[in-house]
Amino acid sequence: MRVNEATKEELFKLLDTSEAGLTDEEAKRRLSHFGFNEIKETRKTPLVFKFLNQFTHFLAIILWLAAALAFVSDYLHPGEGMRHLGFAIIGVIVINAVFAFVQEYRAEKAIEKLRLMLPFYVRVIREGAEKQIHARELVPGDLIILSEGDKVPADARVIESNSLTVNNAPLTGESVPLLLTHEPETGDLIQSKNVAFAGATVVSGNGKAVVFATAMSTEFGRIAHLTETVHIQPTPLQKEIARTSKFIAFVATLIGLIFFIIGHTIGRSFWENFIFAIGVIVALVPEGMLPTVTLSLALGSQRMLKRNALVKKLTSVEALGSITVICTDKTGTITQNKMEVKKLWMLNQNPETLKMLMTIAYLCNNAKYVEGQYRGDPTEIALLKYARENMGDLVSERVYEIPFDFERKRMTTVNVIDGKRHSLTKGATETVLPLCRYALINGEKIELNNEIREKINNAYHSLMDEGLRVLCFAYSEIEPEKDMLFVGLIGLEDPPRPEVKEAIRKCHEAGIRIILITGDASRTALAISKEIGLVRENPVIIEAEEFHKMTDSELKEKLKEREILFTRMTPKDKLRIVTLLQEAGDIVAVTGDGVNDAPALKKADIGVAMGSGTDVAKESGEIILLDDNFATIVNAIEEGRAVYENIRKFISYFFTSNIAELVPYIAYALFRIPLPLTIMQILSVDLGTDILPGLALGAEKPTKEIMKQPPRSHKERLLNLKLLLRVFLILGPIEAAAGLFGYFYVLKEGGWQWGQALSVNNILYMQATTACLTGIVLTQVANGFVSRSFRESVFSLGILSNKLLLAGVLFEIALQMFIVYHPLGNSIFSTYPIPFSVWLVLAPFALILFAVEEIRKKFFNFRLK
Amino acid sequence: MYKKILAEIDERLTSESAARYALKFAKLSNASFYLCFIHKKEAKFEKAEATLKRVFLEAEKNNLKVEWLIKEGERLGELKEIIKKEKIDIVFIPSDDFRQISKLPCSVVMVKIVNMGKLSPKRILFILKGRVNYLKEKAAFIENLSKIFHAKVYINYFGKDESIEKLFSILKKHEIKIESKVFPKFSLKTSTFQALSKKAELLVVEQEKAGFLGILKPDPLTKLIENPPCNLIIFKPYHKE
Repeated sequence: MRVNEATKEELFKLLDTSEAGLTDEEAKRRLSHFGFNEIKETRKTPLVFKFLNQFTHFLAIILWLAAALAFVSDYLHPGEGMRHLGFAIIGVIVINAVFAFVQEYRAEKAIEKLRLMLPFYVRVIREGAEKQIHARELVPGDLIILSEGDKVPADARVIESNSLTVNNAPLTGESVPLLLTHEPETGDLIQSKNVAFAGATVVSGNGKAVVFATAMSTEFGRIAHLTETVHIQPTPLQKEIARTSKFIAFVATLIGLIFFIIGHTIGRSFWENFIFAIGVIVALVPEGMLPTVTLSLALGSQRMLKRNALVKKLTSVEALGSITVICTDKTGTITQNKMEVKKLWMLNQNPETLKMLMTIAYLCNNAKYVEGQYRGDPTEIALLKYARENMGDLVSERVYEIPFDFERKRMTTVNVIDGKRHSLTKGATETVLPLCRYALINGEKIELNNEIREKINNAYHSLMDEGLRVLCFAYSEIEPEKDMLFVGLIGLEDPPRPEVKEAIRKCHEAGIRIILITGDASRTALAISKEIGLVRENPVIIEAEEFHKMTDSELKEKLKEREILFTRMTPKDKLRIVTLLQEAGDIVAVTGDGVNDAPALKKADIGVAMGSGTDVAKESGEIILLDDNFATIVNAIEEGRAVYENIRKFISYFFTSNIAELVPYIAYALFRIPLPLTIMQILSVDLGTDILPGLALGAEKPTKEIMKQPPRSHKERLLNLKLLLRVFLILGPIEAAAGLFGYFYVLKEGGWQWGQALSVNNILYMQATTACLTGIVLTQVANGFVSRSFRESVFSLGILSNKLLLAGVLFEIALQMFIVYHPLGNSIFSTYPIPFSVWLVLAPFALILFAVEEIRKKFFNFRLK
Repeated sequence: MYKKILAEIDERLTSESAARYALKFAKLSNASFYLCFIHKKEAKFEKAEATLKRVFLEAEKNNLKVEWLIKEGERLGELKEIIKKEKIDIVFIPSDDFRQISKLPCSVVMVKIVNMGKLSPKRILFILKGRVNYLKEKAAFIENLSKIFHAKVYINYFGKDESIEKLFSILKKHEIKIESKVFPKFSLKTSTFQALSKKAELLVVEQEKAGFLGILKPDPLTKLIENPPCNLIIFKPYHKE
């Protein structure tokens, strides 16, 4: 037997308790078995370990190894500057670790917020007396006392009720109060009206209940447990960065090793080979990539904030760009949540009937007009407002009320009107009309026949087809809800937000599916969906009842459909939809505002919480919509797509200089020339001159094209073949040529002969390496401009339109001047001032790179996707 | 399959619920039903005695052949002795150190009740993992539980043993409707998530024999017993085909 089906005596027997409650001794024993009644968090990895993890991934280990080797080299060959290199590499590891940690870390506060929803103290009966105890000491079998304003501390079966009404919003998401009873009931426990659930609030009345579940075993605890258990997948970008890092680290190590062996074979000393191997690794690893990715995401989140989307986790910025499905609520997100009466329908237009309709709308209503403001549920406010505007204020004594509940789908109040009792009912037509025996026609009571019923039903359907939420109004002069008189129908409209239609069109163009999950009836949902362009002709409509009967595999099949509406749903059903969509390979964004939305918000790739929602929802989501507006999600997706595209731009920008840095090393290994570029000079590019222009590429605004492409495939790589070919075969070689040309130009001008050895302190050698470095930096300036778009010409974008890039390029040149001409820069980077003429010799390479890339865009404009 | 069923009672409220599960099993298989309570010297046991009486009377009311045994001594040793002497097929035990009780020489069912409101589960999730052995016993156990509670049955299998299909087909033959899902590797988090999202009211987890490396790894069941998502049964089959 289940607790909801038991009589009071059976319940006492089941839980081994009585009217006198538990004894203190028994309560203590049960406490040691069941534990404290509190929302617990399971043990988590301490923060310090999470931080330390950032130092132990593959790329970091390679860098640690390189740093260790540099220190060993310094120990064996002091004075060669290898110690500085060791410290520089450690600096890179630390910077990357800090940035990665900042990017990934987010305090989990959802459970904390849930905990605050349970009370601290509770009144119980123990040893036959009423006591106040800490709510955490509550155990199954305890007899609790509930009064108005109390928060329910645990799941408990009601055994005494005196108009005990609770608000179950934290569990069901519905704020309409529910009248509880103490009578046994069959059916599902969660829907029982004789059970008070933890987290609910007593709105009115009082009663007693026996606790049968505490802590994480309550329904409230289940939501908390689920919220905590949901496995958060790394975002596509996190996966891609990890994959790219491994790829780079592998390639760098492999190339280092190959050239080490070649060097050894051609008779070069171990020491030379060693410097070479480290140089290759340092040259190929884009040290500045991770900090730039983080900064670029931070800039993206700033732009999103300006468009009313607050991003809580940086990587979500990009994850938004890969969304394939948006599961959205209707009320408040698609619509304005400003309900207004749109149409009245009566069997005939008679003043008497209209007066009665307005009277019911006014009196069978819990909304209030206080101090010039309406307060209450939006539907009730709309009805009250309409009635007041049409017939002024009414005064009537309310004798009692049978509150609205989701099963009955109606509410009734008993009022005294002109000294006579009337029971006034409003609710869903399908539940009110069957209770009507008569209709009010021309002020007369006429018996309802099939013809009239059909007429009413037709009117009901046609109002729904207009997208209206329809309520049926009736009254009775005898018993409440018995042999009632049908009065009329009122159609209410919650108008769609004006910007939603355009946002939906953008989504369709961008290949993003939108799944509407609403509590509304199917016809209303369909009409609104058609109005806003969400669906065209015959979408798949799944009602809650059918949804619950379907197996996962059946539902998965349905979810493949292009246009789907879920109607008569409650928020708790979202988790199943999100899970199945993810299993089918979709990247899902879901909206939510209630406590029971929290698991779905966490499970989704992007949980979108409403700014007006509960703290628990906001803590569970990755993005908060400050204006609750669906269009804001679409704007955020646009920004997200742009961020991903921008990340690819600056990664290709960084890689180009990495290739240019590698080639001098290969020349050094193969042609036995003095090393054209030192390791510290490589770092001056990777962590110095490249950073700001790279960041500026991350700030490129979304182009119009970005929302005309389908969502990115999860198979698509950050570094694909076309992008690598562009870097390896076009841009990289030009930059390498610039560097080597500058190097040999200075050597030649200085009288160097092929095969002549030069010491590291030789001025001519230092000038030559400086020229090589300058060649790379100058061509990177041109690369910065051409990398703004993979397809569009710089001239069509506007050469000065990215102000941040202009600032970045100025910084790049200024930093290079410092490295070349300032004594401090010279001493850190082993450079030496070069004549201005060298700059002029190198400048054409920048122009060549610019021209080649512009020609490629013009004539070979392949998509780099 | 189970002709002799033993249920252990102790002083805890939930031990009665575990015993009632055993009683329902006995009723379904028309098995002989044994109740036992093992206590230490000079211990108080009014609660356990009252529970013993209540369950005993109910078993009699259901026309079962029922016996009770109250023993004094070391619990595990006494239990082993009863099982051997009475040739018990399956024992139901309220929550305990599962590593210890799984050594008992019969099938073992450990019951941990955390929600007294869901003693008659409407949705049961079975977690099976690794090698699919004891096919007939597992099928019988699943069938019995589903019939006792008329519950919707979900099976999550974690592993790569294709024999799982045989188990599904046995259940299908016995007209037990199941919704199954197969995962390549066991994960406690996934199991918990499945139980919570399916709103399972009873989670049944199979205990696997620890392999050679078993002593080195912490048993995930210990964590699950500590913090179960709903009422929990840990089941160790014993009867080979």
